[in-house]
Amino acid sequence: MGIEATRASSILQRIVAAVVVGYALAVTSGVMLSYALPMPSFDAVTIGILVSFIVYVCAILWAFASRTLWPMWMGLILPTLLCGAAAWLVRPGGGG
Amino acid sequence: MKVAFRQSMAWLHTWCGVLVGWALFFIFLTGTAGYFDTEIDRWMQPERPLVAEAMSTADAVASAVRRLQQTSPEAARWLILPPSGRENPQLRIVWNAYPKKRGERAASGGEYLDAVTREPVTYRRTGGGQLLYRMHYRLHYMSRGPAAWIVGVCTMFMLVAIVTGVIVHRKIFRDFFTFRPGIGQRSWLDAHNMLAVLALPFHAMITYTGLVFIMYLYMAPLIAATYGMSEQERKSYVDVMFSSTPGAATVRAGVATPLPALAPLLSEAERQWGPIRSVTIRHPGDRNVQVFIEAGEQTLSRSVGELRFDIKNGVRLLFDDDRSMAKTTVDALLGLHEGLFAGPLLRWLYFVSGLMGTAMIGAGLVLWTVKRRERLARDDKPSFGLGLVEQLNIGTIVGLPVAIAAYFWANRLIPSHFAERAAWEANTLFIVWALLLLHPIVRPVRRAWIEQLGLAAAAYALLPALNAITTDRHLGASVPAGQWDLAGFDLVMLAFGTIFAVVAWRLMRRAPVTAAGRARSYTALRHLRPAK
Repeated sequence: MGIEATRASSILQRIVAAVVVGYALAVTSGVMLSYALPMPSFDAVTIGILVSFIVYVCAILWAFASRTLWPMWMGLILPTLLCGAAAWLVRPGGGG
Repeated sequence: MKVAFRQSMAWLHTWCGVLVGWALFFIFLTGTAGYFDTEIDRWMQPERPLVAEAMSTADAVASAVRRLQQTSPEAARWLILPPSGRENPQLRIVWNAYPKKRGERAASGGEYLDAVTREPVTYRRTGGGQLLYRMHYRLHYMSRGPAAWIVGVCTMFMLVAIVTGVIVHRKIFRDFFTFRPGIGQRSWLDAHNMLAVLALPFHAMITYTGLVFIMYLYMAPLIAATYGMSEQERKSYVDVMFSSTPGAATVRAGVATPLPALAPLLSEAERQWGPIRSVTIRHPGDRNVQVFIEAGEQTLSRSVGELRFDIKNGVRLLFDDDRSMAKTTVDALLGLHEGLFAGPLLRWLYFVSGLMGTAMIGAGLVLWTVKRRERLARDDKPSFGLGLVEQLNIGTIVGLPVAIAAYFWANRLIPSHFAERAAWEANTLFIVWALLLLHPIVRPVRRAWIEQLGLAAAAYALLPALNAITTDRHLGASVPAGQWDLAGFDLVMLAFGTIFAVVAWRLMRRAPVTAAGRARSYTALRHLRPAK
């Protein structure tokens, strides 16, 4: 690939990672938090949402700040999976 | 590493801004106007009496009930707004019918009542300041859902732009005091920085809290994870989030019963908290009637004193009711965004901060083009992208303010008996904006700026004159009567007109940027740049 094409692909990947995986990370971290907080549903969900926006912003920054692409993807996908797994564990009526 | 990080953040900042800058400019400007929504309403309804007759609350409520019993005795809900301060300068009544079918939108209506005759008064139909304010999240022609998504995505861009902007900036404190005008790109950067840094807490607050209004939409999966997938289940979350009067609503009993005496309830609420803000009566004329009276000042977290009455439970007084910590937090965030709690001084601060945010976005957009212009060799033609951004900048940064002025002109010029006049006031705004977006295509960039700025100067500066010709609510009447809400509108329009005129005049006097001039600016820039 030429330099231009590499650059375009890099930008495109970062945009997809930021928008899609970033959103997934925001949601899973929010769900994890709302399940883990020992509070009534409304409060736990609300705090989860308020925090999830901040997580989203951080994820977007990461997608563009990380210099190489593989660590960029891993830095978003791994926390998403971790949060998802943690949320599953502490889900109401679950194992946790 | 650090340099690369800052560069990537600068890149992100630039593109977040350029992609949605014009939408953000629109959202910020119309939202800022919203901080003076009722003052704009008042100017746009010149039929209202110059000085409102005083009216006691008990008297106002009694007249309102009389009128409602005539017009809508079978209503599901009556809302009475006695004259009380800024938000409700005039006695107003609203009624909602029972929905004919489940889930159907029920009929509703409302009127203003005259303080002397107690008869309904007719003002010219206008969207008023409320329409401008609603535009900043409803985008006027769109339905609520799609508009919320577009505004939400733009808001997210803004949030990222703010955070990356702060990261890119090393010298926050110095930027506070740095403005070097007249040297091209560096001046625009200074202006953008100064406007951003001076009101940074406002920008960050207003953007984040803006998201909170529709967070249930953007983060719906998060709600579904706890409440369940169906719309009905998710709605139960939203209901709590926006409920201002919690507690189970009763259903109609179907047994006609006279209305309870309101006077003792009113004086009870007034004694507890102060002036009555609103009286809501659910199921008037039914045995299961409920009365809600709101009184006193609204706090930051959107709570007011509230008295509730129903036959079964009698009278209950609530102030800092049983809201949970999270609900109070959300209410405080929403309250901070709306600024309804703000007194005159704070309201002006909101307004000025909003204007600074708008100007910051404008300066950022101009900076983008100036930077690329200065890189061009003298005879190079600007690229399509640069040309487009330049044209959109003119048509939005100056064109949108002109379009808003046109909205006010339309309010005075469209005949008051014309049925569709309220809709056409708004159409005028968007038609003028569209024309001014097209105008830079056929004009050279510099001429287009000067022409639109001149037009803006005239459109604003002449508004008070238009007001004087078409109504008797002009400065000559409002100032002697001490009606500063009304006079303030005309004076602010004059101020805007003056600012646009000064900018147009300065731009006209300045020679077009030449290679020699550019070299001079860079010499000046080197001279001014602080020693390392």
